[in-house]
Amino acid sequence: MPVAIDIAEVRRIASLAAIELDPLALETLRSQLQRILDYVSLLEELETGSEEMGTCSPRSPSLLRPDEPLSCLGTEEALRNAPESSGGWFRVPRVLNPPVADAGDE
Amino acid sequence: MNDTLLLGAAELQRRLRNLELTSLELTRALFQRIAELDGTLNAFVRLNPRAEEQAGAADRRLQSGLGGPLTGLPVAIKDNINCAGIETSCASKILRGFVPLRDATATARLRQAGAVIVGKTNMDEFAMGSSTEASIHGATRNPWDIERVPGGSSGGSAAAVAAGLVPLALGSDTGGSVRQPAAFCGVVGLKPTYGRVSRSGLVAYGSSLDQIGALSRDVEGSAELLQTLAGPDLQDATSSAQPVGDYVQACARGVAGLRVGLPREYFESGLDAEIDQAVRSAAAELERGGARIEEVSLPHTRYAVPAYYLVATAEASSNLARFDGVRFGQRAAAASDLQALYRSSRGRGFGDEVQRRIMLGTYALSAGYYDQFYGKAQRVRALLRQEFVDLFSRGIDLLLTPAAPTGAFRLGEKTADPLSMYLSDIYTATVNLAGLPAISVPVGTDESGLPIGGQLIGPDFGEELLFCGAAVLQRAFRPQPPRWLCEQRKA
Repeated sequence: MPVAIDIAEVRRIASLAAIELDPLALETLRSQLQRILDYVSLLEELETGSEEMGTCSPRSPSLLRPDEPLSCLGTEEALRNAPESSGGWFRVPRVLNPPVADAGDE
Repeated sequence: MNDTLLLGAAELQRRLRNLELTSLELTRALFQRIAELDGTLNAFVRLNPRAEEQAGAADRRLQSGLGGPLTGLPVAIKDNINCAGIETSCASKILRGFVPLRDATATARLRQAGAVIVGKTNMDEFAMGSSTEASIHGATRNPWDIERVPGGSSGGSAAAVAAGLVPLALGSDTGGSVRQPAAFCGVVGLKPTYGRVSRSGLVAYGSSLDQIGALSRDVEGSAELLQTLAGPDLQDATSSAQPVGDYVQACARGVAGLRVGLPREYFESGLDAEIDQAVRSAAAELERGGARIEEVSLPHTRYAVPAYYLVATAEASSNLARFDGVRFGQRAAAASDLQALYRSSRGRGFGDEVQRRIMLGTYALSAGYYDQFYGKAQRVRALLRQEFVDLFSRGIDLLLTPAAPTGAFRLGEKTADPLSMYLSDIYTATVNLAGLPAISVPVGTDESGLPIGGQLIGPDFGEELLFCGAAVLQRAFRPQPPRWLCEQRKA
């Protein structure tokens, strides 16, 4: 049974995906997603229960290197593509907003 | 020199090795050709200013007899594969200005082999598309008909090879993005077995599906390219230590005694009648070469595209979470806090199709829906792969199918309806889900003169078998220069 998706659901998914959507495009996006979800609901025709989930193939073991430290990016290199940096750190807007209240304020 | 520029990579390599031609002459001629034609085609997004320097170094190696199969050969690289010091944009606003510090392993192997990196080619944003229209650099045009798409997402690479701007190019293939543009542009497009070529330095879209692939005018050129790229890489834990075959030698083996299956589900309604006929003619050529052709069945084929669009988008939603405006790429201005920075950078930085796929993938993985969508798709994936494995274990050596249900469509024809674009992947996406190798080879043209591609699918690490079949088909269906290109030369 295809799921029905409304604007509120589109907003919820956008919040999970951390994408700010154009409000004028919400309904278009909703109807496009609905059409795609209706199409992929085709999979419900198939009885699947006991199969293992498919994985990358073929089933070679993962190639691992010896557990030895190697050289890594230096700070200057790591910051070379940074949109903003300061004193050897990536600079970002405040992490907490609004400021956390003091216990004494309660 | 114009005719020389349309030669296959293997023949160009022979002339370079015999010092009949220098890499510097060849590279300069290609840059001249790019200047003449790429203003219209828009296959390249940037050129390598150090290409002539690399060509000179290659010539020194060749003159001292130290050249290898790719030494001096110009190669183009899709703009989602890193080349140190050259911007990687993935055709996206969000990565504008990003200059990788390291080569992708594939790029490094090309450099070690002495190939000359000509430039980066256009693509659909983050490899999400089938037409190379969804790009901040504008659409690429098909050298056969400039009102049509080259296919995607490796359309820039396919168009560049078809138009003789380079003899070889790298692309990436997650659901058909090397093979479908190869079919639309009348060139050879190879997707190796999952794990055959390192993904280190390829910007990830669907990590269980992506492979770097080869585009060329000649099957032997594709074999040479794979020979250089294939092999394990400690930078990619999913790369395989399976021994690398002799792909170039396989091109000469022929198909005598091979069993080639035609899966009936790939020839049902929705397939253009001329493509059906062309692929069956290709089967007849393989039969003339001594192969045995038989009808087979892959009964769950119709579930491949829905399964692909759940698995790939789920993986993409995870992979593209790294583009958040913090460590690289573009950042939206004036965000009030970190979360707002993420939302606005991604909202403004990603195009519509990328946003759509991230949204779909996020939904498919979200609480309450994970099992219904992603879990289901992965179980269907297991079924799809098992059908292929069963056929190959019963003695089928290769499968022959169309590479795409239609020829190259017109620019703008499918951009308003994402689902119609997704259905272009109907013959190619299953192969990625199953992790198998496949190659698209030109097998004729339709009545309007557009190229038709046939696809050979092989078992795990069966690239040698692919080259056996592809070489036979190339000898039967000699590649033609694109129609628009011929018109330019007459003008």
